[in-house]
Amino acid sequence: MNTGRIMAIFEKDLKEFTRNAMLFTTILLPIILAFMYSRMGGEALPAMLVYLIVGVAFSAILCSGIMTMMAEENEKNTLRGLMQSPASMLDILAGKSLVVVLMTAVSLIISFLIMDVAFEWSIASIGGLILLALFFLNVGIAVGLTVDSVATTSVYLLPIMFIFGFTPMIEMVVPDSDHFIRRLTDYLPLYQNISLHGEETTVPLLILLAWTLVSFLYVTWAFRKRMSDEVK
Amino acid sequence: MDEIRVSEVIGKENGQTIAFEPGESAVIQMPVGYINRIADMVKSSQSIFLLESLMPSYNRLTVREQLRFIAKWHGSELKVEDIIRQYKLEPWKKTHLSKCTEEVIQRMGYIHAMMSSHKSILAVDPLHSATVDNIHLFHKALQQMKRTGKATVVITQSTEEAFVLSPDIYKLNEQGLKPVATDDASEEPNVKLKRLKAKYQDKTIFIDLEDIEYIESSEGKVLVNISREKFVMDGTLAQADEDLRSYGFYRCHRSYIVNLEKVKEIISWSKNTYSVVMDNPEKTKIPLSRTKYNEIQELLMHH
Repeated sequence: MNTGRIMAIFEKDLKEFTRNAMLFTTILLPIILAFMYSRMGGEALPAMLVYLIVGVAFSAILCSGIMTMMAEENEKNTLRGLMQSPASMLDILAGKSLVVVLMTAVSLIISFLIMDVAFEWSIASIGGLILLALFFLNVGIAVGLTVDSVATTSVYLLPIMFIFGFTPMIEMVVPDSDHFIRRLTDYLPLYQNISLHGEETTVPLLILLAWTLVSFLYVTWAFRKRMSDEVK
Repeated sequence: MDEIRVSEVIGKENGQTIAFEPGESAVIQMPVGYINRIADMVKSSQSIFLLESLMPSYNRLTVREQLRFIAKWHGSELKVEDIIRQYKLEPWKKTHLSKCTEEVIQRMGYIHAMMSSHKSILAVDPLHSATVDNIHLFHKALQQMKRTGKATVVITQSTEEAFVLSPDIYKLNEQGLKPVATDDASEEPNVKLKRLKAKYQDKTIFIDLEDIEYIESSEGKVLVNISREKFVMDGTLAQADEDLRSYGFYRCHRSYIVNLEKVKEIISWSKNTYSVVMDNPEKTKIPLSRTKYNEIQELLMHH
C-alpha cells in the first residue's frame, strides 16, 4: 500500500464523484427519505425506519458508488496506464473506498440530524454498523472488479438494493411474520443490526460477522480473478 | 529489461527480440496486424506502459487536474505548471478533458508516458494524425524519456512517420527484424536538385532551377539572376557548375553559368567575341568564351 497513490486516487475520485450527477444525487436519496419520515410521525422514529435509511445509504452510495466508479474505469480503460502490479489495484480500491465512505458518512450524518435519532448507540450496534458497511463495500468492490461497463452494474445493483438495502420493506410485501420468506429474511444482515438494539447481541453479531466474512471471500475471489485476467 | 519475442509476433521461428533498452528509443515500422498483436501482448504486461495515439482520460477532470493526478500517482518530481508550459497547454489547463481537442488528448498521452513510473514505454502509432506541434512535442517527450533512463519502443505502420522520429529505423516483417538501409551515398544520384539556396537581405530563399536565367561571379560573390533581381548564393561558381551541370546549365564563361532553357540566341560580334542572348525583356547579353562556342551550340540543339 502506497499512501501517496491512495491519496492521488482519493482526490481524483472525490472530484469525479461530485461532478458525476448520477453518483452525486445518490447522496440526496437517504436525506430525502429522512426528511419524509421525520414529517410522518410526531414521536421518535422506530429503529426499523432508521435502519431502512442506513440500508438505503449503504446500498445506494457505498455499494453502488464504488461499483459504478470501478465499472467506469473498466469501461474506459483508464486504469491501464496506472497499473504496475496487484498492489496498484489495492491502492486504487483503497482510494475509491475512502471516497464512498466519506460520502456515505456525510449523507448519513445529515439524515440522522434531520430525523433527530434519539436512541442509544451501544458498542455492539456501532460494531454492527461497521460490519454492515464492510459487507456493502466488499460486495460493491467485487462487482466493480468483474463488470466491464457501467450499464451492467444495474443488473447487480437492483437485487442488492432490494434484498440487502431495503430489507425492512419485506414486511410490507409479506405481512405474515410466520411465512417462510419472512423466517428466511430474518437472517439478512440489516435485521441483525436492528436486533442489536434489543437484549440479545451475540447471535446477531455472529450472523453479521458471517455475512461480512462471505463478502470478504467474494471480494477476494473477484480480485484474484481480475488479477489473473490482467496478466494473461 | 523487458523484451518482446519476435517469434510470438510473426508466428514463425525467430530468435530475435524487440528489447526495451534503458535510455534508448527504437523505431520500428511493421504491418498493422503485428502492431495489434504486440499491443495485445503488452496490455497484459504491467511493466510496460502502452502509449496509444489517443489515451483514455478522465473526462470530468480538467487538463491540470489530470496532470496533477498523474504526477501524484506516479510520484513524478516534475512540476505540473512547468509541464503545462513546456507542452503548450496553458490555454487548456482549466478545460475539462471531455471538451479538449484530439490534439490535446494525444499530447496528454505523451505526457502521461513521460511522467509514468514505468521503465519501459511502448508507443503505438503515436503520431497518428498528429499536428506539427504534437510531432515536436513527441520528440520532446522522447528526449525527456531518454534522459530519465526510460526505454522506449515506437511501433508504427507508416515508414514516413518512422523517419519523422528517427533517421535509423527498423522494419519488422515475416522475415524478422531488420534495420532499414538509408546509405546516403548510393542514393545520391536519385536525390534531385530542385532549388538553389540564396540570400536576400536577411532571408534565405529557395529558387526554382527553371526560374534562374544565369549565375554570375562578381567581386568574389556568386549572384543568381532571375528577371532583373540578383541574389547572393553560397559557394563558388565552380561548385555551382558541378551541381547544376546535369540540370541544363552550362558554364559559358569563366564567370558565368547560363540556363540553356533561357538562351535565345548566340551572337558573334567579331571573330573572337561572342555573346549569349537571354530570353528576357532586357535581352541580357552574357559573354561566351571562344573555346565554348561550338560546345554550347551542340548542347542547345540536343539538350
